[in-house]
This record gives sequence, C-alpha cells and structure tokens, in this order.
Amino acid sequence: MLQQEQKQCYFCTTNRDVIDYKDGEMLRKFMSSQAKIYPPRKTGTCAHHQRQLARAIKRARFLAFVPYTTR
Amino acid sequence: METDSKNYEFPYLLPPSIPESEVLMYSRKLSKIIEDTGGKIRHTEEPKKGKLAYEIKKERNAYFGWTTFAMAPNAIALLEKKLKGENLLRFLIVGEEETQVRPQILRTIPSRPAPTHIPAHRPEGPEKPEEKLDLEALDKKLEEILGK
Repeated sequence: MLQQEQKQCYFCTTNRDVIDYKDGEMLRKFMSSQAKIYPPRKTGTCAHHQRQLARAIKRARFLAFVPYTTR
Repeated sequence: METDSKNYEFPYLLPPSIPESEVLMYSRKLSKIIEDTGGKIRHTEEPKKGKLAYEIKKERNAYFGWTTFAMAPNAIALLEKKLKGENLLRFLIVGEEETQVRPQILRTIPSRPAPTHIPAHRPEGPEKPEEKLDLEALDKKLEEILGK
C-alpha cells in the first residue's frame, strides 16, 4: 500500500467554508507544476470542496493570479 | 426591489500605467458606476500592485482591487456593459458566497482501529491446547489415510 493513512480534506480540516480565488498561493498547492488541477485522489480533497476548489482556480486563472499553463 | 437584490463580488485589474496616486480615484470611479446602476457598495478593497501570472494586454503587472456590493440580478448585465467601456485589464462579477467564519476547530482524525492481529499473536492458555488437539487429530487422520 502506497497510501497508508487516509488524507483528510484540507478545507474540511481548516474549516474554510469558502475557497478564496484571490489566494493564488493557496490554490497553487492544489495544482501541478504544469498548472493542472490535481485530482482529489492526490490531494485528499473531499468532493464538495473539490468542486469549489476547481471553480476558485478557474476564477483565479482568469484574473491571472494563477497561470493557465507554464512553459 | 430591495429584497431581491443579491450580493456580488467584483474583482478587477487596473493597468499599471496609472500612477499610484490616481489608483484610489479609479476605484472610487468604479464604485460610483456600481451605485449609478442601482448597486449598494458593501465593502471596497483598495487596489494593490501585484504581478500577473501571465501577460494581459502586454502587461506583466497590474493593480488588483475588489468590491462587494448588493444589486438586483437583472441590473448586472447593464453594469457589465458599462464596465466594459472602462479602462480595465480584466474584471469579473461573481455571486458572493456566504462567508461564515467558523472558529477553527480541528476535527479529530479518526484514528485507525487498533491493529487487531496483535491479540491473536498473544499466547493464550485455552487456545493452545485446542490447536494441539487439532494437530494431533490431523496427524492421526493423515496416518490413517497413508496407512491405508
């Protein structure tokens, strides 16, 4: 078994109800170096927050807090 | 009218060509546009200079500011039209989610159930003889089979 302990959702454990699209640094933690959104299986994010996270990242991309892609 | 207004958030990027002293003036101008369209300003964050993740209109930096306001949903389209005429790099109007700041309570991590195989390893008085008996019985059976 690679994943011995089940990861907990970052947003559930920190009790952040709303994922802020203005916090680019935080969002970057859930993205690969190529700026792709990580799947929840990698980050342990729960389904509810993964949906919110994806929306926040897409907003942040539009406002250039987070890149669409990196070369 | 008042009752069916919704809360919105309006983040925007101002071009860096604006001198720092005039940035506040711009944000006030935007607030005035919102008010003129029938919005009610709730909170204004003054624009701050920041780096962009990628170039927008050949700019690498921009002033980022945001405003929250309440407005009737049917006036949003008009506001967007008005804002498009402004000197903005980018802007977004999004419905504001309810921000309930709960106190930080760390959830207790459900600890994995204590390993159950350890007690099984512990030598227990009543269990051992049974095993031995079983083994002996097995041996007897085997011998019987082999003997035949």
